[in-house]
Amino acid sequence: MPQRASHRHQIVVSVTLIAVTGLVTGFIGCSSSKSTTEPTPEPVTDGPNWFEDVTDAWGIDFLHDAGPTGNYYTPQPMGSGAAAFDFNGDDLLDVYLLQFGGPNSKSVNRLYRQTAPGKFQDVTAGSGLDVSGHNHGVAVGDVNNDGKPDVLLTQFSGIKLFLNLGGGKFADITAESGLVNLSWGTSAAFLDYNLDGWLDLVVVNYLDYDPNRECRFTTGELDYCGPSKFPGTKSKLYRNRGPQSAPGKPPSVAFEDVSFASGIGRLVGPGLGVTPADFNGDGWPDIFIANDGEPNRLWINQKKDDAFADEAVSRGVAYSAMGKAYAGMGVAVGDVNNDGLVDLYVTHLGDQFHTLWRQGPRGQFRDKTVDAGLTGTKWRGTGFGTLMADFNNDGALDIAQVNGRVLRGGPGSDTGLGFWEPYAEKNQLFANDGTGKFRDISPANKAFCDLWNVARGLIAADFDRDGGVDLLVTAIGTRARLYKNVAPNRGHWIAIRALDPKLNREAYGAEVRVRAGGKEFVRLVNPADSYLCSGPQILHFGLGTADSIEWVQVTWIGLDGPRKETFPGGATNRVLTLKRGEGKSS
Amino acid sequence: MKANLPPSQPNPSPEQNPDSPLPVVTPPTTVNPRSRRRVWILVSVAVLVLGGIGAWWWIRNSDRPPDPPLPPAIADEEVKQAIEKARAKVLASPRSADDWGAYALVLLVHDFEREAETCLVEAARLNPSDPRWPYARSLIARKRDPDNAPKYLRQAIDTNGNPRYVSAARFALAEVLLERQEIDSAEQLFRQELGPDPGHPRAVLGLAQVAMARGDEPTATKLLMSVRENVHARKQATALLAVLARTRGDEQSALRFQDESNNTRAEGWPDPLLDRIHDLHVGKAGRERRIEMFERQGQYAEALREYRELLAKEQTPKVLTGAALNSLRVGNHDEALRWVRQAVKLDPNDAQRQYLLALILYSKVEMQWARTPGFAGAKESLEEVIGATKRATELKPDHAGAYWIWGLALKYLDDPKAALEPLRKGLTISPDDFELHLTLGQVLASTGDKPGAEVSFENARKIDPNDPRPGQELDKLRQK
Repeated sequence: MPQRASHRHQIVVSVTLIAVTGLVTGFIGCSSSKSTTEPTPEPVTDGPNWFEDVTDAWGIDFLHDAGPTGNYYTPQPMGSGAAAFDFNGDDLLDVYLLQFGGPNSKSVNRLYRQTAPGKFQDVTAGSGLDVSGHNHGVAVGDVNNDGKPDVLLTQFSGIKLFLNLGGGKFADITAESGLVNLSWGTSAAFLDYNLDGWLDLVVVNYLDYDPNRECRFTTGELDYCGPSKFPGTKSKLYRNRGPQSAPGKPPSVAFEDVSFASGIGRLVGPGLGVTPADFNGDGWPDIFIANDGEPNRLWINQKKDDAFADEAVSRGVAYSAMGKAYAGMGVAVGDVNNDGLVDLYVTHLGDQFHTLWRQGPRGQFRDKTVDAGLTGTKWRGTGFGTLMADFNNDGALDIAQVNGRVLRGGPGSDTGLGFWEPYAEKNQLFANDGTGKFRDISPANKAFCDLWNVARGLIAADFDRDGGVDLLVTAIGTRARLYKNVAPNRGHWIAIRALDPKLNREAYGAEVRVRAGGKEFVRLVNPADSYLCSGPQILHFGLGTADSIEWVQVTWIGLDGPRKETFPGGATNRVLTLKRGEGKSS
Repeated sequence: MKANLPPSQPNPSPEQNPDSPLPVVTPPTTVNPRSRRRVWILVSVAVLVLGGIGAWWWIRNSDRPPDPPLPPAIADEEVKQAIEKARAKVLASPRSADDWGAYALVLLVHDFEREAETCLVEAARLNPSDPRWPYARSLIARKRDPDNAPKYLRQAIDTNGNPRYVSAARFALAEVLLERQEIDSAEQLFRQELGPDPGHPRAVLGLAQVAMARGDEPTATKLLMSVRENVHARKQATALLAVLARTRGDEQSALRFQDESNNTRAEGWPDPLLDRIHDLHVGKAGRERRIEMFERQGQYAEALREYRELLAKEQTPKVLTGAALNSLRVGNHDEALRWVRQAVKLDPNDAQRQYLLALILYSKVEMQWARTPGFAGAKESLEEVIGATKRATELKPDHAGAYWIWGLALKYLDDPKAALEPLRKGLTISPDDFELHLTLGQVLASTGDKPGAEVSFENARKIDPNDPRPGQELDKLRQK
């Protein structure tokens, strides 16, 4: 009996234990099931750190004025860009940064001169570029072929052209030039589309904005409006008719609006990004425009009567592989797999994939985002400025992009960005393995990628001339930042300037090929890509282990057709200036 | 556990405390084994009962749905009522998956995604075999957490529930997988959809894309051609056909398909859930969505009806302007003018409103002029038109339409030279505007600039070769 009693006792204890354990496991179960819905910390993957922030050390103290916040003026979150160009011809890249404080703001655009490698000095005062306004984009090109780069600004409801007079002075010649754009201008690019030797201009226009339209975030708070709330506008093409001079008047340049004749002004599209290039290989520059939520345009040059035809659909760049018109913002152009053909990368919203269209055969593109490994990124973001550059000089173009939302709902907290915090995101960096496949190395690149920002503009340039491509980032309402390239074990490199002495300027539209280490690398003379920005006119080639180059081939464009010239190779790790007519015709 | 207890007090013993009263000594008792067993049984039963109650209490409470969430602030009273009504149903029957789901959809359509997500989790927990709830979660995930969307789509498919929703989930998953180049899995899903509905255009389009991804261009072309006439597939199918034609070097076909695609309006695929939840959209935003839909479809009388209902509640400048515009569209100029004047009075600093005022006034003048050229009062009306267009272009310097009306008014006032400037400005903004070119041509002709007029008429003809007016104007010009 005692045994039975003891047995019963055990049953009671067991039942009680089961009940208690049930409760306990129930709680454990609850808590564990809850934890699965919480984000798990992202394991930090190994990867090279390529950049360090040298903004202060290099003397850039630019703070972006976004204008008054709280009235949700939709042009505001589109941000402002920057230009990297050598305005004074001392072979050092200078920096021009744009403000968005509005026409009556005290905040003016700032010009920084690089006085020595890695040392910038604010030379804004008296430069003539010290203008305020709702400034979005900038394009740089020598419009009068005097050897000095001129500056074009796009604004909300306007454009401005500044002629470089030399000596660090610029003159506003907008009125005399005949340039008029009353629409909402964003990115712009200079190109010589009719091959007459004068740089023409394409200005991308965005939305037909109505400031009385009110938009709200899902939580009911006021917010900026997305592009679907307004109709798109038509972009502009202006033909440069060359310099004009009249007695007693300062020098000027005359532009003619050929938007209608060209066809570019006939199709609406909320345009944000632009890059010109000879995409179909016929020797005539074409124009790619990234549209926000509408099909992109690939304007193919018809070679006469200023005419262009949009062939984006049949050439495969209007839509993603799934036939979606994503929210196109920034554009990067470059040959990611070294097959001799330039590819296109366009940034989109964070809930979409950013798309890589690979070219091949010439003039035809296919969405190869998945093949390139660009869908499995460590985090997502709304991408704006983007570019391809060989940051570690291994002979393969990497991709950098800067992010920041246009509608609230971002994950950032304690960012110190105040009003802009709900829009903040982190930037991204993708390393090319040499075959056109990318690895996300953002977590390892804390300086560039671990900072919350509402970034818009991005420029890649070897500012300090040490052979490594640095980065310049503009962001809304905060400091512009310079990141010095500190990539370990960088490969060899060559930097090339392609000049046309007859035109007295950089040979915009030329294609430069370098052969080294048994491989060929291609770059285009075109400072207009990314978003709202103008990059350097000097071409940087990473060459990996090749310590000499075999040859350089330049395809110059002109009315006499594309002309190829080959220049002898030689040592690497230097800047090479190639002039049209000095190479061997081939 | 011990560490958290208060320090135990030592039991005072008589020896240690001589002042304590003497302890009562109880005589030793003999314990009956039967009564001992009875005690054990009673204790056991009590413990069992308590344990059972505990277990029941725990199961009951752990299974008890949480309180349905309520969005923190709902400004629109109509939306608030709809949400509260749906929530009240959940409170009344907290174990009803349908009520949780219905509430989630009301929240979802009014953009309260976080709260909707909470409700969908509960709905799916209460009825795991209903595909609607994981499918709705996938819709939210596609916006907020796109990498997790496939998980919910798979859950929806695995329910084997209502075939309409399972099918929608399968298509959505197939397309997500296709975008991620998981070709074989995507193909399998598309083929499953072809089973019950051979020739389903969405599945055929998907399989065409699968074929393209595999480089099987003849198959892709064949499949795309078979769905080219489908209203939902046409835009995408012709875009892909254009790409394929260029790939095989057939530029003519490439351009033809490209034009077809560019000229085809994108029509999304029907969605059993999205199509349904739009009907749940109430309040101001819901009405605005309906108005937008009516206007897009050219159903202006229906749009006007909505505006009239809104006007009964609030006579804001925005509502008055919308009502005026749709009134103009259905030909009721007087009503339109009355409303737009009221709107402008309330808020004169709106370009669109000023433009609409000018447009309505101008339309009235034009009609009356046709009956009685130079009628009394025309000049005053036209001057008011010009005033409104000037204000519109001050407020919005890129308002091409306002420049056009401004030019037209000056043309009627017989001041063609003054009309040139606004018309040219309008063309700077909108160089492909047929009416601006035509009007500029007419104005140039009346100033005697025949070559200029000819260019403008030719431009207009280029923009719309089917409109006879530029040709007629050119004939008139050449006869002069």
